Amino acid sequence: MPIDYRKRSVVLNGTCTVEDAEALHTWLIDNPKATINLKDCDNCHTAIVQMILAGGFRVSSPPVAPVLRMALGFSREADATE
Amino acid sequence: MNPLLESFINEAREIIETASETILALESHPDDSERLDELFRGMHTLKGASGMLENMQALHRLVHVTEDGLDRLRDGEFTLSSDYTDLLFEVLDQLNVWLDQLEQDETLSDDAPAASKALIARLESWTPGSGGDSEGGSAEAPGDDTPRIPDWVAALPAQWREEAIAAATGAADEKPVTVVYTPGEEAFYEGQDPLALVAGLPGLIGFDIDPQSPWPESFEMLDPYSCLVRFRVLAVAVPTAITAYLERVIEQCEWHEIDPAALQGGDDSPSLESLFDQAQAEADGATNDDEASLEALFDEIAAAGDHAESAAAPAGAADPTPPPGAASGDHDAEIAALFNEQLKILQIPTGDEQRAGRLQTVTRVLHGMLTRQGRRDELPKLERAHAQALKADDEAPLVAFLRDLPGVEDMPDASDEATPAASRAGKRPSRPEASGGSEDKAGSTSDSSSSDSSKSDSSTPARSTEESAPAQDRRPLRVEQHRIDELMTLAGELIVAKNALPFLARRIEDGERPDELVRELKVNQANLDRIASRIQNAVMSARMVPLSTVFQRFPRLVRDLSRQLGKKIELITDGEEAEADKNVIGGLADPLTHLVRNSLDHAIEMPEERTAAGKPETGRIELSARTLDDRVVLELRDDGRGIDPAAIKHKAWQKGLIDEQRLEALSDEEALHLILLPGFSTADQVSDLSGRGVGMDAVQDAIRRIGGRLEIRSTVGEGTTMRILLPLSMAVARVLLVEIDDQCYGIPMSMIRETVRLPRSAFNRVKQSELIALRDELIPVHRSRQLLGATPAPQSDDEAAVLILEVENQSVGLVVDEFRQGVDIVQKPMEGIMAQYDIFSGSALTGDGQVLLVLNVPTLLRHAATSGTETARPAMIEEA
Repeated sequence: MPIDYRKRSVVLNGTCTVEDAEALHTWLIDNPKATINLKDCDNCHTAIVQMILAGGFRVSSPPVAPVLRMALGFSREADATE
Repeated sequence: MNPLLESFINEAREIIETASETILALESHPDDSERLDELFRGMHTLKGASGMLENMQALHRLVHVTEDGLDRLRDGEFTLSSDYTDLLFEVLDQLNVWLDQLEQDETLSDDAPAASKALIARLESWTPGSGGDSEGGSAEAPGDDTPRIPDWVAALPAQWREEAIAAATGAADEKPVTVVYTPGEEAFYEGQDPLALVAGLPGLIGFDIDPQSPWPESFEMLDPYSCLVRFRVLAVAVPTAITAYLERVIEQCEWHEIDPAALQGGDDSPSLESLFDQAQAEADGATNDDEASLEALFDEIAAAGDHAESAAAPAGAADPTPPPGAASGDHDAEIAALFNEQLKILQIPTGDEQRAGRLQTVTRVLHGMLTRQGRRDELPKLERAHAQALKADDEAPLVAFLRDLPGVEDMPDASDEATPAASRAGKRPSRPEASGGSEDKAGSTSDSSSSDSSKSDSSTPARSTEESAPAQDRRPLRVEQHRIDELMTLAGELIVAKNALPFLARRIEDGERPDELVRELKVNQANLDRIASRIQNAVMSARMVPLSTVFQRFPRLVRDLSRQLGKKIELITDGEEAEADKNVIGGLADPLTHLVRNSLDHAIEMPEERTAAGKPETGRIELSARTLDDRVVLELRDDGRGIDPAAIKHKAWQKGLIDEQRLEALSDEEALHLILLPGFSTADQVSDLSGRGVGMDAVQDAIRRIGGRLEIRSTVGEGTTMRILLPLSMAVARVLLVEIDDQCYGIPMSMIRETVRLPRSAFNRVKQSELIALRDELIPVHRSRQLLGATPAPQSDDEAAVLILEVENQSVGLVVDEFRQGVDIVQKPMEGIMAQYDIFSGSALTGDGQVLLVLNVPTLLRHAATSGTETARPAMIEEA
């Protein structure tokens, strides 16, 4: 199971595909204040990334995978703080 | 040509055509947001497509800024005014010029960046203060030709930029590339994962994601399955590798190569704001600079135009009264071609040791030609130029002398002597190659032959038709699929029919009864005949092009000219769906444009004048087309001031084009056709008609060349109607075979009014010419043998065969030896050495394999009239 829905957060693991998007969307609508944990996420479909960006959700643990970092704007932030 | 470039050119032309229609429609309905969107989409597509190609920055940038402007227009930042429309049209014109260049040389000319910058500056400065907000703006240093970098690239982390610079300096063919990838909304449904695609991009340095349009207001409204983001990517790779990788989504990508140096600019890490400020300041500076350079450019163009006019004027003025001893007009054209040839020779780069010899040779040739032309007054100037050239060891003085001669082309360069001769000459060879491999020499002969038939030095439309013809031939022809399918079916039938022949051959070998075989052979022949004629019809119909391809240029022309002239004119077009052969349509554009210009310029009065005459203030020009039997009838009607036949008659008489007798005898309708005479139209003429130095005779020639006829009707004060009758197709012509001096010739059926046999007593001689009286009409008669320079027919008391022809709205008799049958022929234009004999309009193969020459009767008669002795060129028949 790539997505682990917890009480106030959601943890994305491994590879998240477009099939996971709808469930995540529904869950996020119900839990608008939830945080997202991406530490162990290696791959995400565009649909998932788009949802995280559009909802402006807080990412509790940023991803390690460089592509995901770029996609979610972490590499830029890191750069700015350096 | 590179297939990508070729398809880009075709696509771009279509976009520009549509855009120009849309802009016109927008001008009358500025609130039509659908149209605006359409225009915007067109520009966007063009931008995307041009981004794929190399060395297209000038074009790409211009389209980009135009698109920005349209976007601002869409956002309601300002409204579309006529001036902005003018500017948009200028952009389209510039794009068209570039497309022509691309088609010819496969690359943009060196002045493209300057032209692009000039237009960009004007587009951006349209609303003051809004120049810098566009993506990238003019963030380049003034006078610096390095491609600018988009703002978002400038704002990328310095680390990425450093990485990109390092990667780019490491490998020679790898370049920093930016890609803006905007996936379609349906991308997820189509199984795409744009992020995965971007992640795998070769040489990826970094990217960011932002929404294509603002995110939905609430998260609930977000459709998780529609793709709403776009990717902005920086990569360093071999450009072709990137295009190959993105091939499937290339239409959604915008693609730029950027200069590593431009990336470096961010090294000292200026803040984003300061970057913006800097861009703004530079944009302001660039605007001023560019305005100045633009003005200079305009001055230059105007100067070049003046030069061309003043050079053309002596040619036009000299035309009606050729200097004594000079040959007829066609000869002049040949000589002009020779002059041009000399000019070309001088422009070929050469070593120092050969220059003196070449100068000597060219001077000798020029001396000979000028002497033959009777222009001895030019000789001292030539000697001076020659001496100067020898002294300076440079061709320039002779080149200058040649360019000053009337009829010598290359005018655009005349004002720019600084252009190194070598660079011009170096460019030349690529031209013939682009126009289908025909040699320059062939080009100049066909050019001179076109001038032959127009008999006028100022036949600009005729010449431009010749030049534009090959360009048009390269354009793709759109054919509906069912027409091609039909051809396929027919090809199949043809093969089946052909397969019957070997069986027949075997039966002949076996010695079967001949009458049976003959019957079968005839059945077979009938079958093949049926298929051949159906194939012919199918091919003909595939070549049919709607007249709208010609008509569509006129709304723009009418708009521009009426603004320029301060007149109010409404153009109404009708029947543009009528079709004709592509060659007919191709040859129609120039003469029709000329006629429309005439109507605008001279026929329609100024608004005050119209109101005073009790007419509506807005003039009307109606352009209509309809199919009538096997012809297309085009009518151009205006409600202007009309043509006064009396004034025309007087003018023609003053110019010595008609004598007093004819002046009296001419009916009003015939008088109107006087304006078609060569030499009638010069700069100084009746105010009702064109004064561009390009005569109506050239228009008529161009129409005649495509097998058409021009009729004029006019009522003073009410308006003029020009009517052009065109054949649907010029490929197959029906001719009557006639025998002249044991040779068979064809005469176009369209010209023949009737055929009669007359006794000798019917011919009456009046002074130099012969006349016949036919049903109370006096008709001048010419003898074909004499016209062709053959031996006169022996006198006999038999009835003579006379063709009554309709030539230039007049009846003329032509005595031939014998009539034969009428046949359908596929007429081919005269080629090679035969092309100079303009008394033949073409040749065709007859059924028995002989070559049939088709007579060009109007030219033949004109030769007879000018030479006076009624013999064309005696040597011609032997050579033919």
